[in-house]
Amino acid sequence: MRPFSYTTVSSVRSAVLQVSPDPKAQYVAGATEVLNLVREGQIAADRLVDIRALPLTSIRAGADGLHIGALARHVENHPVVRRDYPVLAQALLAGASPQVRNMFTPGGNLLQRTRCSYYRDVSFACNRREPGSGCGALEGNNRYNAIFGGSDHCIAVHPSDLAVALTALDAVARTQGPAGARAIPIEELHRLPGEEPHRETVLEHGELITGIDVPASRFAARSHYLKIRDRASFAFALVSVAVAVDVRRGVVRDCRIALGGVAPRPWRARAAEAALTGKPLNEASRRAAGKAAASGAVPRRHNRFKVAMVERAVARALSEVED
Amino acid sequence: MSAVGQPLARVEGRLKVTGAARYTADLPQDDGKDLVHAVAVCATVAKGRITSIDARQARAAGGVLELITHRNAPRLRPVPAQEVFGPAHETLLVLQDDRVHYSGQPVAVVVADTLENATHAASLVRVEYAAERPVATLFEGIDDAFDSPRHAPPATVGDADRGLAEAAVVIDRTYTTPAQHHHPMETMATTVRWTAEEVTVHVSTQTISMIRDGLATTFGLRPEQVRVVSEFLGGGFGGKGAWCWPSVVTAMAARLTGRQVRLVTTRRQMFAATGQRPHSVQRVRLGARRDGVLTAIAQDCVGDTSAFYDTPPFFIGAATPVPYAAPNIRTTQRFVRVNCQTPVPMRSPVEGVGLVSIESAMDELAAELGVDPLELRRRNYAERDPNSGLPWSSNGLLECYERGARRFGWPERNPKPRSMRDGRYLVGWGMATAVRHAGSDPTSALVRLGADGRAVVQIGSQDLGTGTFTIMTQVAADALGVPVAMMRAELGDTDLPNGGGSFGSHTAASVAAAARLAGEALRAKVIRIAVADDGSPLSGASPDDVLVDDGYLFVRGDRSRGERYAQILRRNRLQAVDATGEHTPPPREGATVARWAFGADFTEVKVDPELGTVRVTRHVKAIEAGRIINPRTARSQVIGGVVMGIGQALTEATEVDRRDARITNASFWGYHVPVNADVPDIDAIFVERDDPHIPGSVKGLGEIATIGTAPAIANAVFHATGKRVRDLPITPDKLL
Ligand SMILES: Cc1cc2nc3c(=O)[nH]c(=O)nc-3n(C[C@H](O)[C@H](O)[C@H](O)COP(=O)(O)OP(=O)(O)OC[C@H]3O[C@@H](n4cnc5c(N)ncnc54)[C@H](O)[C@@H]3O)c2cc1C
Ligand code: SF4
Repeated sequence: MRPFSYTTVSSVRSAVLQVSPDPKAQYVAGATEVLNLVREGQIAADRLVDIRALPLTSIRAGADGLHIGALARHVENHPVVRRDYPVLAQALLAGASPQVRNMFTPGGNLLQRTRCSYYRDVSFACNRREPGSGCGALEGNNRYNAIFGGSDHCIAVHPSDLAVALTALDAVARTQGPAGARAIPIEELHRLPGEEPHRETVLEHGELITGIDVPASRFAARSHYLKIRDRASFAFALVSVAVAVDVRRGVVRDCRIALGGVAPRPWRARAAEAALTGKPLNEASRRAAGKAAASGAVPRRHNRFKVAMVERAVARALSEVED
Repeated sequence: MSAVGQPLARVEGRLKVTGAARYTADLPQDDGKDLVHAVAVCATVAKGRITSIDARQARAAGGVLELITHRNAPRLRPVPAQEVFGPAHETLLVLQDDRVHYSGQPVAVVVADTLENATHAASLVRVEYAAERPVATLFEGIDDAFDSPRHAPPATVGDADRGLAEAAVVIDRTYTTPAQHHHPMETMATTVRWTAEEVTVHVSTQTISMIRDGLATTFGLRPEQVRVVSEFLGGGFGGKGAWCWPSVVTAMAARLTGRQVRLVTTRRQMFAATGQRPHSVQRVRLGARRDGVLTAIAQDCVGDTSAFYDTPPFFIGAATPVPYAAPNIRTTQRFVRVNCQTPVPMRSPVEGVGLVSIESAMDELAAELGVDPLELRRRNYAERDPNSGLPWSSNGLLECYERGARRFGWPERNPKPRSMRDGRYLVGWGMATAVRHAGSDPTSALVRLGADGRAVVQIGSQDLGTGTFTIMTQVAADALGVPVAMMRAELGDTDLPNGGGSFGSHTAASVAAAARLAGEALRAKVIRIAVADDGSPLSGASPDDVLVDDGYLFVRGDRSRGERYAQILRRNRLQAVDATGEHTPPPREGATVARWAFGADFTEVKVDPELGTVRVTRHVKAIEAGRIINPRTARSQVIGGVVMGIGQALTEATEVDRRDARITNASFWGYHVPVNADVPDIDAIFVERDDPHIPGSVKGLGEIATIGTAPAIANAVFHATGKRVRDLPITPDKLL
């Protein structure tokens, strides 16, 4: 593998100072993703800066919501998360395997790269990995690729389950960059590919995710994550759905529906949310929301099934939060 | 007490779970000071010519010792196909010319002081190709499909066309099975030291003798100059049974550098290192009377083979005439040249692929006739082998049906599809028949007894992780008459007496037969010494009257007149006594019986009808494989086999891009083998039979353990959903 240097840092400031000016430097947290990428050559890092010693491991729950450090461990086991934000715990448990989860971090999870087959094998053409080289997936084996948000240059899917649940909870990422701190809605963290798929996120190089804020909401407690995959566990989603509903006096006052496995970023199904809001939660409204969620899809040769799968998955996930 | 039949724990189990077992990639530990590492650069086109290789950057990288391409590689001699198994003629190709025949073919090998340096340098080698349009899949080349020049189809029985014409009901269906890869946990590892006197090869292989003979031929050496060692294997499933390039290029690198060289293929490279289960299309026509009695079976298969291999690998319909007593049976196969690595066996190259369609079609026939699928199979039970007309050497199939069905609760099945539910899930029950030819290979064993009363049994066989060490120990201990604690097994070295390949479900039968003969010969030898020895209490006894129990030899009827093995050896100042045994399988020609193992799979699936997900929730497998040497390791085999069957039915397929014939899911996360959550409780039933025509009545379990599982699951999915998926694997999208 490509030789690289490895250093550890103990403050957020020095972390940012080390990585920002060096285009060939990368943070490493749990290393479950970045080491594979370096080994296989998807990213050319000459320098890995290990951030595991940073004080970003806490999980705090209060009246204003949930604050998750970028390096927090086993968020899915936190009692408040399990009780008040079930979609979050479920999404984490549906991701990867216990072994990978023992290592990984929330920050690293959000910034994992696509699992598009052509991206992951450096001998294939891929605009996202190598600008201008072409997109292997557009006319190739695109069963796992996007039906929303893609472009003629890239139809990658972002594979994080956590990000889908966070999107349904209106969460934001807190970051620290050379220019200071900012907050970025999780939904907007990843860019849609457009003509520049290689610009994967809105982060500046060296901008560090320090934590994730999940605001208190009336819908978080009544939430659910559903993931459909090719085997029972340890597989990326074909389609996944995070739903969160605020139902009062039999009517959906507010809701969030976010999709995974279908787009280059967690995909808010706003048409489905609109279709459901103001309706009682029942078989008919669930089906209608499912239909709305799938509307506007642009399927490709091998992933047409995802359209029907989205419809059904949304309806099913909503049935899980019905009384 | 007899050790055979006891659930002895794996004798090497402790070594494995404590990490003390040295697998090939761990070797050598002791003299590894001059060990260097090789990494292969593999073709990224599936067909074409190499136009240039720019190795300047790679050569200049740190630690690089050698860079081998077709320009400077040692010239190889072709290995005749009968000498090795698998893509023999590929030896012509490994770094011998500029032609590329499949994506993943090695085009260069970098040798460096560390694995990291070698890997890095390999990534710097720039290879240019003049790519040509490859044949990417079977379907593309199907119009050019050809008949095998080498294999005659199995004997046809009667006249299938007439049988179909006479049938009251005809089922005519086409099924496809995908290419699959074996995915042993341990990737291919080879370490070679090449000196003027000897070439020593540590390699993860299912056949050390084949690697020895193949390397000797291809490098122009005498077989005695090559020593091949393979002590512990992390699985193989057929993928390590064939002749393949990793050992050849590692040997080249060792010869050129004069260093001890290790090459471990990456997981990605495993998709082109050793071959795969072929992709197949199988058209089946079953003709039957209204009562379900078959009048004809016709099966026409097309399978892929590689573009460069001139001997199509095997005939997937070879067992089609075996399970059912149809008066008219025909099976054909044509081959399509595809730019892929040459197919090799995968846990039954024949029955594991070719019976998928037959067992699915039987289920379709049952549904069509309104006959219970198990009853349909019973009605077509074959009293003799329909193919050869010979009587069975033994056959426990009916008892497998009966005991499997009883354990599973099959009579409770509501025959109507979509009739059984568990909450939101549709429940389906399916079954299938399994058959597998029972054979063995020529095998030699040596048993040596020391003056301390301890013994060792040696066979140049391999243990895939299936329990060969353990059963060798059990059989040899019984044959000699000592407790298992006094017997040790050694295998995996061509310096040991010649063993065969660990494939074809032959290992247990071969190894047990040879170990028994050697143990018995040694026992007789020591008895002869004792009865001729004035100092022995056994002196003067007839050898036939001397019995052995627990290492104690005594005269029949008088247990007090005897002594222990160790006493005999010591008094006669013998450090050790040994004896050999040679197992020669009965010739296939002129056989008077048909030797087969049998089984029946019963399975329950739960299908989410909205989302298309399928879970296997129960599985019962009843197997008649003669006598079971060790019920514990045997049960493990069945569990592993059923898990592979679940993968074949539901999750596994090698995906190829139709434009360039390149595999797009060459990883463990992209190619889905079942995980624990996919695997239910697996219930193994052994229907035991004495078989007078098979030494020790050992028929072998390796493949019958998985044959039948996939079609049983596919049949259960139909029963659950009313939907027949004829294209494996049954992923959620196919059920939406
Ligand atoms: C076999 C396998 C299966 C998997 N299945 C799933 C699945 O089903 N669902 C799922 O969601 N995920 C899955 N994953 C992905 C897994 O969740 C990610 O690998 C993991 O979350 C990455 O976290 P990490 O801490 O190890 O990141 P690292 O590997 O350390 O880093 C990943 C990337 O994030 C950057 N980074 C890390 N932390 C920060 C930070 N705080 N600020 C800025 N940049 C940062 C790194 O520079 C790097 O580019 C799977 C992974 C594997 C290997
Ligand atoms: S879809 Fe995107 S990631 Fe995949 S090959 Fe195309 S450009 Fe690359």
